[in-house]
Amino acid sequence: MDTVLSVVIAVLLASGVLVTVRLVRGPSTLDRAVALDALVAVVMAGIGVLTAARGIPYYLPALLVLSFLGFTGSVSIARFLALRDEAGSEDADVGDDGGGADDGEGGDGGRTAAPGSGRGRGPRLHGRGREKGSGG
Amino acid sequence: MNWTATADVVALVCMLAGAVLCLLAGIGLVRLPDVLTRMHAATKPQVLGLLLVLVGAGLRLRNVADLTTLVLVGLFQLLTVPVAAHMVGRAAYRTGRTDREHLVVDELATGPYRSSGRPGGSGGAFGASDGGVGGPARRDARDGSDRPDG
Repeated sequence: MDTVLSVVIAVLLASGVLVTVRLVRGPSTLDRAVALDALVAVVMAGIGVLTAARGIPYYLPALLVLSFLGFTGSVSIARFLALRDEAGSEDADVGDDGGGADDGEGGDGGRTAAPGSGRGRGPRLHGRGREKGSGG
Repeated sequence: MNWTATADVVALVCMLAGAVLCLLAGIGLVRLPDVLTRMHAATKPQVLGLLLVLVGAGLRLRNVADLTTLVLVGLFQLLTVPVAAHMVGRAAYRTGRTDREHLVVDELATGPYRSSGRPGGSGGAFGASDGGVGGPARRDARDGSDRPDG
């Protein structure tokens, strides 16, 4: 029991670190918004695990507050901040792709897996299945 | 084996699955190249992972008041996460963060407001959408009405 709970907490900590990496170096504001949502979800899962491990219900209102805060933050970023920051700034877009060499260390497998992506603007890679899945 | 021990085991399995979904979201956020693909990874723990963890916590707590709070948290998350993801994805589309050549279906590009989504083409669309609360809401209504025929 305690071993499984330790494994769960370790996995949650590792995912929090990974999400924080994207939160720090996400190229655009929207990447950071998405990472912030995921981070809030990870923290909520951690509070749920803490509640279950100790058997005390006093942290449950914090779950409600975190849910509301995550929703408000992401909607306000998407609505007001992102459109205003990057309106018509194509150069910032290109710069982000150039700075997206950080994708190169992790994304090489995906780059070779999508060999037909060389027709358009090069750094924007990846196939159609993911776009379709993310759109739905 | 009484039912409390079974509930404990099921709760542990649920929490482990939720934690693994969180880890998958972290890996996907680091590795995937685009805003939409990162959303595709990041919305897994927000709904399914968190619901699994809440089910696990409810199976451990076994109290009616706590279960009510957990159900409330789950319902609120189910209601708010799609709305937030919709708005983030739409902002990503309008700021040109999507890979348009690899989209299978681009319903927003076939509507009568074809030019409004291109960031380099017309900056006026964003100026209009910055104008206040009414502007984007009205455009949303039109986009929604266009969707069945497009």
